Amino acid sequence: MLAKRLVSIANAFRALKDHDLEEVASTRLLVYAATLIKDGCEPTLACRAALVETLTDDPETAVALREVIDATFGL
Amino acid sequence: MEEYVGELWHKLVTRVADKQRAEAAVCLAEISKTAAIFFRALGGDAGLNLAAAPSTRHGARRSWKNKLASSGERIQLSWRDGETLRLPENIDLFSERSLNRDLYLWLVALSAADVDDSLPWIVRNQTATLGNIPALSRPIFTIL
Repeated sequence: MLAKRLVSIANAFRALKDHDLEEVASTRLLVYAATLIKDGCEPTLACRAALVETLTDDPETAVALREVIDATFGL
Repeated sequence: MEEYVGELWHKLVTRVADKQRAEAAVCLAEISKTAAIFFRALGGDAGLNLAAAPSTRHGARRSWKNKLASSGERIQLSWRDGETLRLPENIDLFSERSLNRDLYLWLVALSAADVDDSLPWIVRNQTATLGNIPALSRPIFTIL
């Protein structure tokens, strides 16, 4: 279930390539997020740290990416 | 004098009739970038522009206060065509700002999905949101 959610987030972020993000979520970043979660980090926090913070430094884009993560994890 | 009293009356009756929650209102301009990215992330057409929806006459029954103030005849609906996604210019339906913001995102999620037009509107609504993004159901749908 967790893996499916991470893949869903990655697919959503990949839809933003060339429009809002220069780079999209790589498999390596997803593994980092999964590793953080496995080590006890709260899933949305792990995704923010491993994905959002590494993909953009634009505040509004970051907010939108966090909304995608929250919607995926049901927050 | 007559004009002055008329203006005062109009302001008073309009304020009573329209349940505006200015402090909780969220306007499209402040959420447009987030909404556009959210729309594209959920699979919406990346070529669409985001713009405010024009007011349209809804034709539904109005309260006696609205009739007295001659207000509440028009509403801004969310819809999209081949070029533009249109959302209300501002939302002040709820007394909490976060809920009005969530409603914007809900409308965006609704617009991002490609659902069979022949289905009843409520089924289309649920398929586009709860069907495509099941996790939306727990927090936003329950609260809204």
